[in-house]
Amino acid sequence: MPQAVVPTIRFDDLYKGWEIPHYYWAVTPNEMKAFAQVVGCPDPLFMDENEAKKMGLDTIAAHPGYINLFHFECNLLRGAHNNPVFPTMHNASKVEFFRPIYPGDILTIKMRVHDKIISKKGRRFVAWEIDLLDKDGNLVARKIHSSMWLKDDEAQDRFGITPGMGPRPLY
Amino acid sequence: MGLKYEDIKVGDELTPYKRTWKQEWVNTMMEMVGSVPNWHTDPEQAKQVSVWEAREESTVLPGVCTEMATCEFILKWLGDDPKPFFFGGGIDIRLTAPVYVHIKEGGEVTYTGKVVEKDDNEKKVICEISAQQDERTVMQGKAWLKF
Repeated sequence: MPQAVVPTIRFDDLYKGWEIPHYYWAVTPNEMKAFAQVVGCPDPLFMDENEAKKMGLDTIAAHPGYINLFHFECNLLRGAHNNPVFPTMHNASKVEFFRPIYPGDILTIKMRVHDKIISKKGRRFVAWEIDLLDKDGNLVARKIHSSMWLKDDEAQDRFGITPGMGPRPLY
Repeated sequence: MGLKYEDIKVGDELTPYKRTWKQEWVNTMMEMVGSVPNWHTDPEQAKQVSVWEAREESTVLPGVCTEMATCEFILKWLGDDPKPFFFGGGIDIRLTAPVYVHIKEGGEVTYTGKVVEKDDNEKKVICEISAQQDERTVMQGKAWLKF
């Protein structure tokens, strides 16, 4: 069956301050628990309301990695623009929590280009600032997600991806 | 019993955390974010990436998995009181080398760290942290907690 080929988002397309359309996420307890199990960490803090309360929380907290559900670059960019992102490699993270993510939270996710760097060796890096806000506009968590973008020739030679065109995302 | 600010001293070592990642967990997570197959799920694609040395029948762990396991490491050190992490805590890490995951046996990583600073005014604790796989350092950075 023919596969749709759509333009990729490329390093050159991005600029500092560019913000993708906001994204919204309704947090459910089942999804939170499923995530903790999927990543192999079904600790009581993430699974058992009574245990979480004994630890001083209102109820179960989302596993810290849950924040990544929303802002995998390819996922979010594809969701926003219906096209895949060019191959990238995660190289650094800064994550700050201001409160746990709880069941019933309705989060607004804002994501913008925090920085764009080309190293002396010609490696290309993009850092994204990702803010998660609750329905009252309070910051729940903030992440700076930095990744290296493969050079055009690497992507062409190794994965057969031509800049500007790509059949699917690689992450 | 949760760790108390008063009980923590500069120089204290964090309780080491061993974490095994299974390929099936990575596969499911990648499906959840809608990005398969890729070099985190397919050993053949992992071999084609130029910036690391490929291993037979192995993929490379997504960086976010190292990030989330680092958070687990800090939470486990805190014991029964996760509030210093969830209310004002965080991590700042660099991914310095690939974490290999054998498609059948998985990949084990050990997280270690020590307390390097205490700020009595802000009741804040800062730790240097790192992670190792097969004696290679795969992550370095810091974590902070707000008591």
